[in-house]
Amino acid sequence: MATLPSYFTQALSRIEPGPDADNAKKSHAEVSAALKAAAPLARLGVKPVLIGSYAREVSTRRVKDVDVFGRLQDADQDLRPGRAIDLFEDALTGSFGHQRVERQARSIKVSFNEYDLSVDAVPARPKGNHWEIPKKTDQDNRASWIETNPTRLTELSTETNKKYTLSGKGIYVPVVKLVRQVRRAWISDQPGGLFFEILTYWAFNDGKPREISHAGYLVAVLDYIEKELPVVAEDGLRDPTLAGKVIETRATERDFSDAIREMTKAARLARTALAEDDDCRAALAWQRLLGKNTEGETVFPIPEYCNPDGTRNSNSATIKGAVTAPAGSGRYA
Amino acid sequence: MSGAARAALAAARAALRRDLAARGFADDGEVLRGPVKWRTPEGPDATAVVDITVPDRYPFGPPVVRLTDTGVLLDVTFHRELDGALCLWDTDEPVPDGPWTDPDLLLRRIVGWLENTAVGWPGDEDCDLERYLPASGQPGIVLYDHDAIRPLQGYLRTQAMQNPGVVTVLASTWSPPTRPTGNRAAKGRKPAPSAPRHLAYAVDLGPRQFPVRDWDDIAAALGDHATELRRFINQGSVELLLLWYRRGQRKAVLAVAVQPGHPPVLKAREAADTSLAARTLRAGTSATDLARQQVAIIGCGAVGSYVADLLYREGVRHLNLIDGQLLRPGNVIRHLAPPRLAGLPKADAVKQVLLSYELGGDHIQAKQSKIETPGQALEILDSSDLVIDATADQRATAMLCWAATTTGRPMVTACVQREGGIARADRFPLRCEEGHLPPVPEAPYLALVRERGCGDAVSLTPPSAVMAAAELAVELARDELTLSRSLPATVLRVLCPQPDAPYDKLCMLAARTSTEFETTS
Repeated sequence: MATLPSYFTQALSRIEPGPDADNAKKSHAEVSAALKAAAPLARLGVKPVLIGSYAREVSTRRVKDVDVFGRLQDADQDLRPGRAIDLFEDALTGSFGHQRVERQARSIKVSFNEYDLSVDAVPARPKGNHWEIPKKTDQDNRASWIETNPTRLTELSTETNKKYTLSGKGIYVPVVKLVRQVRRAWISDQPGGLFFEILTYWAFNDGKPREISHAGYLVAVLDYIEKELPVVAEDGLRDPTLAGKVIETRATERDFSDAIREMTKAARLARTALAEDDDCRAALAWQRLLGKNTEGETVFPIPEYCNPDGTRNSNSATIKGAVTAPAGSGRYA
Repeated sequence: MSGAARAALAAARAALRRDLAARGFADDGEVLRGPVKWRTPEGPDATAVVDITVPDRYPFGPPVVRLTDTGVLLDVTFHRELDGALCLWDTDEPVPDGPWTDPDLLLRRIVGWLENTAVGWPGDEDCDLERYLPASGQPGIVLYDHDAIRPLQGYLRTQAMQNPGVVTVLASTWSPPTRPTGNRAAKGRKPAPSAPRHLAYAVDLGPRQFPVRDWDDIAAALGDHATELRRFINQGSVELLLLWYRRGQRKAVLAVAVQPGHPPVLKAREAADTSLAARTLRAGTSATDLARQQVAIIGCGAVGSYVADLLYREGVRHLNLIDGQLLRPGNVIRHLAPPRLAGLPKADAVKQVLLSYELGGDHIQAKQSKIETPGQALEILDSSDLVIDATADQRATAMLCWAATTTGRPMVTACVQREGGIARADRFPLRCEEGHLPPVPEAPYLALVRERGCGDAVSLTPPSAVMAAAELAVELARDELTLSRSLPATVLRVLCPQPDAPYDKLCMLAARTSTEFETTS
């Protein structure tokens, strides 16, 4: 069984956000400061918080958008979605100018061209223990609110990462990243990264895997996804943050059909790689599974002692201990 | 690093990871974490959890192993690095075996470590307590004369030496003034006595069952004296602790730099014994026998000066150094004496160098003289246990060889030939059926070089050849002086292949008889 742990570590480093992480932090801070500086929003008790994959530390290279959850803690039931978006638009336009601010269906997008990323600021009002965000306008062109709990997903992610460890360190987050990368390599568009992240969450929550390598966990989760994807394509994917609700997705029936086919192939390839005794053949299979990152770089490296075609490099005989010094042992100098 | 070398190293590391994973170790690519079953002294099995990392030194050094969970209550004492890593193999463990590359041997070693720790490392005599304290990072070393300091306890004066960071602890005690007691003390209200600066404090901690890890360990051993010592440390007076301790039958000293603090901060310093015993420990196994012998060295030039030096270092204390010349600056490049001694008689220059070692018990005579008569040769042989001729003076050598053969007194004559291509030493007198190797024919033509002005022709022999000849002479001398008598009458080393056999290859020639010899390539 070739689990190639060192090379999985390298693969993970190749999909890490890198400099995007700093840029995301800076741009998020600027948008939050702009929202808090706006008097009308301050009166509504605005308290922005970072959400999304970046907040959950499961984002992979590249981070193109960052989500800011604009919690209006003192907003009451009279606040209309359109009014909330107007207030956000006014605040952000005042700080960033019309050129960089774009109104969207339920958020305001602020562009940070210097970082090649944007921040989506979503207004939210309290609803019991949860929050509501604007829903896309319906057929009557009337805006309404929809219940959500993105901060709970961040909490669940942290909890799961603490619960499942590999050599004492959280394994859930790295596996989500690997699954997101598999999705990127095998699925053209939909279902999206969040959908597969939630599937991974359920794979851990339902399957309770206990493995001793990244490779073992990845295979366990892909097996689960292979099995569950046809089911959730029909019934919807349970939202772990809101009982009885399912995750929204833009995936069409055709998208699901393609995804089921591709993930079946991916899961089979992963099983083959894990079962492989030869490091070099295994590495080649993991390389095919994880594809390339957004910069076109191959994610899974071939070990130094292997050739690119998956054969073993004949010059790389394993050093067993060390060569004997010409004088043998018992030397003094 | 070449691709093949990098690939081989990566393959070795990957192999260990794979083997440990097959034994149940989880691996996140950096740390391998897994169970190690071991038996407690009470009998039941325990399961420890260890973290193993594969450092860059692998496979030329062992993996780094740290305990995550011992499985049972365990007092971890010795054989552990400051960062918590287990010391599983001594650094002098034979590398070719690389036992740590075998996962089963590695795990067994960890089991052994746990089981030994549980029973307090019986029979363990490693005196390396400095490894359990952070290093001071100061340059230099702490020097102490064990014989002079050992009987002393308490406060000792120190002296900073010329080299940066080198401190010598002196056999000079300081006692704190006694504080007034009773009514006088109350009336006077004098401040606590202060101490001079740069003091050391020496104390015997006795046998150690666990390392010194912090001030509390020292305070516990000092008892009532701890408070006073702590005060002087925090006053900045005491900067150094010399802690004598014992592990099994072995005795050692731990030098600790102390800095004011609550509690005082302890850092390990390297320390070394300057006693004569310590400084002559490495002199070889014959030192005691050689100390009683009287050796005359005729000729204290290039070869002779190194013969004198080697014999002195090996234990000969009674030396009679004889040479008629002065040390010229041009001699120094292949002479024992440093340039500052140029102008002295060569014998005196050599004597000064030897005395600078301060090895004591010296009876070194230096004489600016030559062997010019057979009578002188007979006299010097008669008054010495051994004479070494390093004159390169044909007449002197002839007289000494004749005198040795005639009187049966031992003599060794050493030289370099063929401009350093051959080093040779011959011993007299010959023993039963012995013979010397035949003379080495002179090279057909050698360019003569002279210093500016008049004087002897200068040999172009390099310094390394000079030392090789000195080494051969000392080997024959030791063989004679210790009565081993296992070496032949001639030993000859070809340092640079010559055109003519048998000197045409690098080898050692040893005479068996006058017509036979052994060659060792």
